[in-house]
Amino acid sequence: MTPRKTTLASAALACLAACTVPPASSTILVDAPSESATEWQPVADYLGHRCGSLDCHGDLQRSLIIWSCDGLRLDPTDVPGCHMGLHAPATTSGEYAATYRSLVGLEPNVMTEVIASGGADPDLLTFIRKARGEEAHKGGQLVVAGDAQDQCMCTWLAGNTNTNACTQAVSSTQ
Amino acid sequence: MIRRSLLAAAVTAGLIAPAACADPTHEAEVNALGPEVPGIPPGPTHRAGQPCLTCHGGLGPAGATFLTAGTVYVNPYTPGTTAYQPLVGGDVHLVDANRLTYDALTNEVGNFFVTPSQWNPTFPLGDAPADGGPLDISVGVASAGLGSATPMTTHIMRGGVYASCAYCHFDPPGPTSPGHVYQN
Repeated sequence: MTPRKTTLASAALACLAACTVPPASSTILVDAPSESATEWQPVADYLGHRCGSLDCHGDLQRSLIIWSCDGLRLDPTDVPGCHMGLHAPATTSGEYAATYRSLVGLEPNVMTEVIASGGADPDLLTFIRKARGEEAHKGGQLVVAGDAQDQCMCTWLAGNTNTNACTQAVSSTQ
Repeated sequence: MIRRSLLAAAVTAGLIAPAACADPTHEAEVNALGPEVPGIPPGPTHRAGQPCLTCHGGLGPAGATFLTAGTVYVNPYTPGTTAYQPLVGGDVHLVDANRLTYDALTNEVGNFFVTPSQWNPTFPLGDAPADGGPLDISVGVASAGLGSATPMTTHIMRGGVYASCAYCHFDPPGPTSPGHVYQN
């Protein structure tokens, strides 16, 4: 290869590499389900209880990270164990927000598609498929399509959280 | 000659294969536990407070496989304290997803362990009564003269290395751990 060809090839490679790195300022817009206290927090409380223990998604090494008062804490001065009398504060607004971002940001394009359809096809989302046992999940199948746990998550995706289902989902798995 | 070459290749592959299959993450976790404490040989009283199933979870190097195991102390973490009184004769009450129970006793250093031949539960441990009745103690510790059992309100979701008490319960308490397991 001549020096000129080498230079051209190097320039082409550099350009290709530059084109594959998104600029730091880029953003992805997500059509996301509600983050309001009434719509999201019952879902987050269920997820924290069922999926957020320290041996599962209450772990910073997971793709889906769940913060909750009985699991992983956001504030470095807080400890888990709010329901064990360990002087642990209840789940904080920061923890609700962090879990929301972790979940919604997992598959932003798919989330957008699901929300755009009014939650018509929730099992396009990996977290629903894993919970239902339709996809490999170390925790196994945890919910059955249509049960209270499933309704809690899917009604949130549909824009009208069934808070009774979420309450039942927590109490039935304590 | 060809036969010898094939044999040599097979032997070489046999020697290399185990090394190729080794899990460097697991190996690092085992090594991080350090050596045995002098004077306490491997056995039921060794390595109190450590995550037992790192070695006893089925990935080795320990020969015996446990289903769950851990160490229980009398008192909670106290800043500045490094040695804790073990809970001797404590009853670790385990409930599985089908409400089957098993009680393991802590030994003289607070250690307990459950082997698959002793109990074969369905995870998660600590599930709800199917009839929606009052909550069972999921993982509790009780000992005569030391007060009532302390319930654990979260689940142990799965076995393997995750089913050591110390996988989640280590000192000092912080955002990722409530501290060691204790009675009072």
